[in-house]
Amino acid sequence: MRDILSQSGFTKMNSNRNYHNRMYMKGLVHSFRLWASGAVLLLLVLGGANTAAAQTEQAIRDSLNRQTQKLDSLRAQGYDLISTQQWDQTIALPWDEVQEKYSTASTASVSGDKLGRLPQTNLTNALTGQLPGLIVQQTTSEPGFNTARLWVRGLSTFGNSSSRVFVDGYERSFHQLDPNEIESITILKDAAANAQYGIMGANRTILVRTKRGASGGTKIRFSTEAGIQEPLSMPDFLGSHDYAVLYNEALRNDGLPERFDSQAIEAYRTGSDPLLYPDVDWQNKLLKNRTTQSRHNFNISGGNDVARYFVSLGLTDQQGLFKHADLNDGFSTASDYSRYNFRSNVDIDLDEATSVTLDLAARLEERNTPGDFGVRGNQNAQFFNPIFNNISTYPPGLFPMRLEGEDGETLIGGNAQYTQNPYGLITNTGYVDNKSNFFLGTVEVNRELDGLLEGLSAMVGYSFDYFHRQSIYQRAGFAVYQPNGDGTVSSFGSEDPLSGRGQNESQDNRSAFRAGLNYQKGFDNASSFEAGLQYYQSKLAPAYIPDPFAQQLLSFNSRYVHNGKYIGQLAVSYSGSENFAPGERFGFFPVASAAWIMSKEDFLSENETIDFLKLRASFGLLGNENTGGRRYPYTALYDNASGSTFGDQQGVGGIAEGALPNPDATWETAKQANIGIDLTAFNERLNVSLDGFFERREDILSSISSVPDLIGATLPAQNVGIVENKGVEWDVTWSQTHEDFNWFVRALGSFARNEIVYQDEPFRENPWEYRRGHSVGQPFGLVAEGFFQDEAEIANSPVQTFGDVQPGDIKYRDLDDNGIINDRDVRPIGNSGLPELYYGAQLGFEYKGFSLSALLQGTGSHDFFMLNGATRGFVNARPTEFVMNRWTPETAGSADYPRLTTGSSPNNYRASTFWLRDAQYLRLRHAEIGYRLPVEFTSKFGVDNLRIYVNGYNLLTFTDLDSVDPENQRAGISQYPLMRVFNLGINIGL
Amino acid sequence: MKKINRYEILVPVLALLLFTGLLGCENFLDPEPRRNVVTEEEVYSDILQAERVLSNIYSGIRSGLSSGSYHYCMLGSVTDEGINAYNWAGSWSINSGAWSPSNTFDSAWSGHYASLRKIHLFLQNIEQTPGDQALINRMKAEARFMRAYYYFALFKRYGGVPLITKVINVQDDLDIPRASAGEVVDFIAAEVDTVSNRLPEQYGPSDLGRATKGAALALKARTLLYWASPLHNPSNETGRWQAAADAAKEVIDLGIYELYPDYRQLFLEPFNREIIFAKPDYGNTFFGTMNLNNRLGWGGTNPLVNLIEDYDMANGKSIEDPTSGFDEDKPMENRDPRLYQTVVVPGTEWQGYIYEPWGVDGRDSEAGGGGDGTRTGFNLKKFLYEPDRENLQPNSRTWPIFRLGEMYLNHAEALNEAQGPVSEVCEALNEVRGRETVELPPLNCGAYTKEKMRERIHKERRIELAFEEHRWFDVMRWKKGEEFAGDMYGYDVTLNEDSSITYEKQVIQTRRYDTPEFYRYPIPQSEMNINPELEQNPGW
Repeated sequence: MRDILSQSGFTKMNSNRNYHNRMYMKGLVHSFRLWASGAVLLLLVLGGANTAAAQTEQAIRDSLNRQTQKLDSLRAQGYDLISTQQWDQTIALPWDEVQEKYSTASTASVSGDKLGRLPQTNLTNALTGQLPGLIVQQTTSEPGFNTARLWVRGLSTFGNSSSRVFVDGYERSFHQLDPNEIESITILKDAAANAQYGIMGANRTILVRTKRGASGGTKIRFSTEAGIQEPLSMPDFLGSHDYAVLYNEALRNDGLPERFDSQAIEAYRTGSDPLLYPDVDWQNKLLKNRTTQSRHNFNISGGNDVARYFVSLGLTDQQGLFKHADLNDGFSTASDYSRYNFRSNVDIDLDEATSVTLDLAARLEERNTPGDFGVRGNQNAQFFNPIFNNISTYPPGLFPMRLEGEDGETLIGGNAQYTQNPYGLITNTGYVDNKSNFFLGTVEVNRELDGLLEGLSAMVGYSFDYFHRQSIYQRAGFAVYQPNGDGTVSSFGSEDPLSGRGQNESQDNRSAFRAGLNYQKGFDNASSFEAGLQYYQSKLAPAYIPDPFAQQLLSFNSRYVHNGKYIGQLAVSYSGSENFAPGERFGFFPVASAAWIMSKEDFLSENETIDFLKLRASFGLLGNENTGGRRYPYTALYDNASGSTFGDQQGVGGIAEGALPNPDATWETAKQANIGIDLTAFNERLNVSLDGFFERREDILSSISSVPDLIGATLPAQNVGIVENKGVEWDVTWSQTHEDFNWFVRALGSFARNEIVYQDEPFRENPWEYRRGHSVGQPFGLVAEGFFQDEAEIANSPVQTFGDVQPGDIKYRDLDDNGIINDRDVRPIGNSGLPELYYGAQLGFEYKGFSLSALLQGTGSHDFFMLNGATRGFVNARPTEFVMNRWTPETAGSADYPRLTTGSSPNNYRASTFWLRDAQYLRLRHAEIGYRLPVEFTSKFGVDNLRIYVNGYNLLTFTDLDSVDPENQRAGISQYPLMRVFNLGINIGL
Repeated sequence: MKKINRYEILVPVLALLLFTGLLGCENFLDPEPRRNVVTEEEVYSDILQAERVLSNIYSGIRSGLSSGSYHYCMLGSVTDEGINAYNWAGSWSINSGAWSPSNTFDSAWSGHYASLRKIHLFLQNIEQTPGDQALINRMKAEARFMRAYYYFALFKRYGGVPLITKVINVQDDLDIPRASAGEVVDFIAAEVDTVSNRLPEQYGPSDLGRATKGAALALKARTLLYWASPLHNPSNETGRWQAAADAAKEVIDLGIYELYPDYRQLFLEPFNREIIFAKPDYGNTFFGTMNLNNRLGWGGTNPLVNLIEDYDMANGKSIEDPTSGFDEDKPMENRDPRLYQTVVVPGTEWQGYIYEPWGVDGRDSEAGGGGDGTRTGFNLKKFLYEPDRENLQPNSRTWPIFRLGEMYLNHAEALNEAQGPVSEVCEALNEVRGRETVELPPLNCGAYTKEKMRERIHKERRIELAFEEHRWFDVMRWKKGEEFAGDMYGYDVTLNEDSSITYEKQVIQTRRYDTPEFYRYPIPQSEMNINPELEQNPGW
């Protein structure tokens, strides 16, 4: 009987292989369809353009025009690799356009075209290593949930540290925009750059500008690319033979009888009985080795003296890793993501002094996941993924992945303890189909008021953004079956058929209004004066939160340039937030800054080496109104609280006094200072930009513990916390252009270190327990002193209070010498969890249309505790090579891993120096080889630019860690992994 | 004449827009009222809202069935009643002796003072609430009962505590010293005397669980019993014992309550006629998940052999008595019927199958043998429904706080201490022992000295009230800390080929219990640091 069953098991496996082939074919077909549709679109465009060109003289002129604009076009499309600093180009702050050479602020910028070269579906991941001062941490490549975490200049508070993002002047998210619709992304780093944001500027700002049309000919651009993703650093789990041997050892360590007898061990070794003694490779059976992604964009821009436009349509598609996602009729359980981006930016000149802009953008996102994922509203990364968790922790040998029932039906393997077979989670839990729709609209009017006063202009603008999310789901549950060895099976759990369709919906909206007055006056001898007055208000009404979030800003800004050498700038923001008491809502935030263009001085102007040299300094006060914690901390209110049930009633909902009010609650204040130097030398071959900053953040809302609990009330947080943050940033480029050979190298990065100067902490018995004096996110843990070698050593050592202790367990240092090891012996160990050092290196060259480029990115000075499903042995984990050199009485001298156990072993698996690892890494983030066909050739077909390329992302990683990803040790274990991408694409410009 | 550009009109329009925009924005940041929050004034102008405040006050009662009180374990697992299968449960830390002012056992200090503030806010404001005066008077009496109850909860842990009877605020003098234990007891007794006549004797079905006259009198009875006990009564004033005995008698004599015939169902049938005061725990599936044996749950609470051995034989004789008929080879046979209704015994039917806590093959295997096996050979049965009901949601479990059975035991204990083993002592004990499903032979008081009777009563409490959160505090007030120190035992249970079961006693944990400091909880160090008037309990 057993033979028959196992034979049928083999048959099953064979049919699986067929099935996988079928799935692979489906993927190919899918990719082909996308390519085909792109190609058809391209033909239509080409045909249309040629016909038009042949038909009218105007079009011919345009075509000629285009030829002359070729170089500009190429540069704009980012195909020009040479990244020289253009001191004449402008930095566009929301209200302040300033020539870069006259800027007193510290900013860093990257073009959308450059970001588009990185084959990533989420823009945040393309920012990695591009901007000095921006730390990007990619934690997963889960389709649709892969937004990276961003920090500008590290951490300056233990409160909310997120930077605000403004797209075209209004607060909006940017991570799901199409890079082809982006002109540039700029980070505003110092007080001078953020001055106008006042109460919301302390955490610094990310500015995104979308592309606009320029007068001149029509530019048509088409790009399409398709890539293959494959998981990075998936742990290599031990097979069922090793598992059984080690499990027996763990049981012996726990003083328990062995579970697997010699016959079973032998069966695991030989693989003779795949039904009762299987060796399930969950990763291989459930995850594809590779899957696809693709991006397509089509945009047209252009205009004339009256109107200019930019219209873009993008399609992005990222497929998930799960096999067996197609087993259900009518729906897929893949983990897929697709996105359409649409944008139309239009500028119309009503007359020579008046212009109107109308920007409309829409975005459709669709995420499809197995039903067990739940409905995940927040689309940020770092999700626990039950499917990956079970792939990583389920035993390989206790039951097959699936087996055949009496009537030939497929049963899902499992037993009483393991009822959430990941195969079942993928195939038999229904699905969730989440559709998000975004609509963004902006109208602005600009008017020059020279008639009133020479140099005066005004603008008003209004934006309305609307987000709607809908999840449609059907859920199901499954039972698992364990073969009993006699042809029968035992079942655990219940088979729940697919539920009816359920639906969740939510919607947010944000409206903002802004207006400004601007005055500019030029004088002789390169002096000029500018002043601006700006107003901004924004209201966000998020789903499920009854009270909208609102801010109001009024700011004044003035700049004086003297002789083209000395620049002084003064800005004041008077801004407020709805979060604080009436009368306490607004604050003044002044910022002063200056710059000195030394290269204009006589003693340098004749210098042939130095082309440009500028010193900058800024100092100012900013605020952070996003204080976290309870909203409206000044109010005394009763709020819903736990209630009681009486008799047979459903219960009487409780209501209770909320936290005591803090009428003085206010924003965090930030004193920020920055000095910088900008240098161009050696005929503009060398570009250097250096910054040093210091920030003292005060009034961080912190809970207080100086009032006895006798009062019985929840005390309000007080503005008492203080954090200091300081650091340096560098950006150095050497570039050289020759006749037909150009190359450059660039090194950029930052080092920032912060310290909690004050935080109202509860009383701690020992000085080393305090968080103050250490960085925000400092790891704390016990100090490990090796393993207990025998019972005598345990008896003679301090009592460890984290559960049973045996020989082979980790021994800890008794810091307070009281004979007891407990939480009082926890002290700061290792470096900050956030990398203090973050750097990037770029290089590239091009030769006659061939180009090669690379982007490396690395970190230093950060540590984490290596505790995950691949390192905890049998404790919510599955053994890997990591545990092989474990402690046994025989290996006591050389072991580097504690004894194995089947218990939970809270003594061993807790934060301590034993698990601390240096998480620094260096990654080859991106490399690309491309070829641009000669213009002389392509122009015959009306094509200005035709470039093909292959590139890759996350190609190589250098790290001291084996088997886990240095950016996220849970990636691929309990979360969706990071992916490597190989990508092929083509750009066409008409 | 200069032609007027029609867009010139934009200037005044823009200016107007800006101006009105700014004017209209004057109140831009004013929050709109939130739907779920109200001011204190609004709360107390509406009797329905005030009832919700009272409901929140009741919610501070700790249920021994909830997970939060002692970090995933029952209080019984800290005592010689049981051990928690999970060594990360809160009990393990305490059992290792790692109890200190900075490593407190539970958050009783802050939790109960938070509840007291709620009561004082309620009492301060309820006067202004319009509504049925009779109802408001009852609600006030309920709140005052809850205040006395929470003070007892503090007293049984810490002894004397700061006695706060009104709302205190940040600007008040918060360096409040501890009242003596006697002052706290007097306060509880006086409050209970006042409110017991204002509280109803019984409620309609929708209000069960609210304070009654019986609950108030039972609270007084237990408070006075604790106050008379050796920990607080070192000179053994018999007057205190007599007062405790009288108070218990008063509850019994109310005639409202009677012993529930089925000992097992007593803990499953909500608000049955033995229950004086209980906290509904409806729909709490977590307790079942935590404590059901391996096959169905996580097997949390494992009764210790120390407890099992204290169950007498069904004939009423101790298993140490050579004439008891105790068979070491079949230790689970012919024991006090309450044993089989409190713990799951190996080889017996439970949840529709045979409970098999042996080896790694048994479905309810030993700890480590796959999942959540038992460390002692036993799993908890008390409070747990059979599967049809356990899986039924919501279940209707209640956590008994005062029940008539305890009152009989309180009465017997106090009376024995006050007057010696008079016949009334045995009458009270025999009531409990004679329960329909227990039916142990009656005791004859004539055969007992006062000391022997004391032992008998202590043992009777241990068995009758097992896992009801009495043992921990009983041992503290009796100052019998040696019972909690040293070796705790489990059985290594083996199924033999002939289907017989072998029990091999083994030490599974060695515990630390430091006297005298463990007899009172330490006041949290965080409080000691900021209140110079507080005096720490002895030994800490």
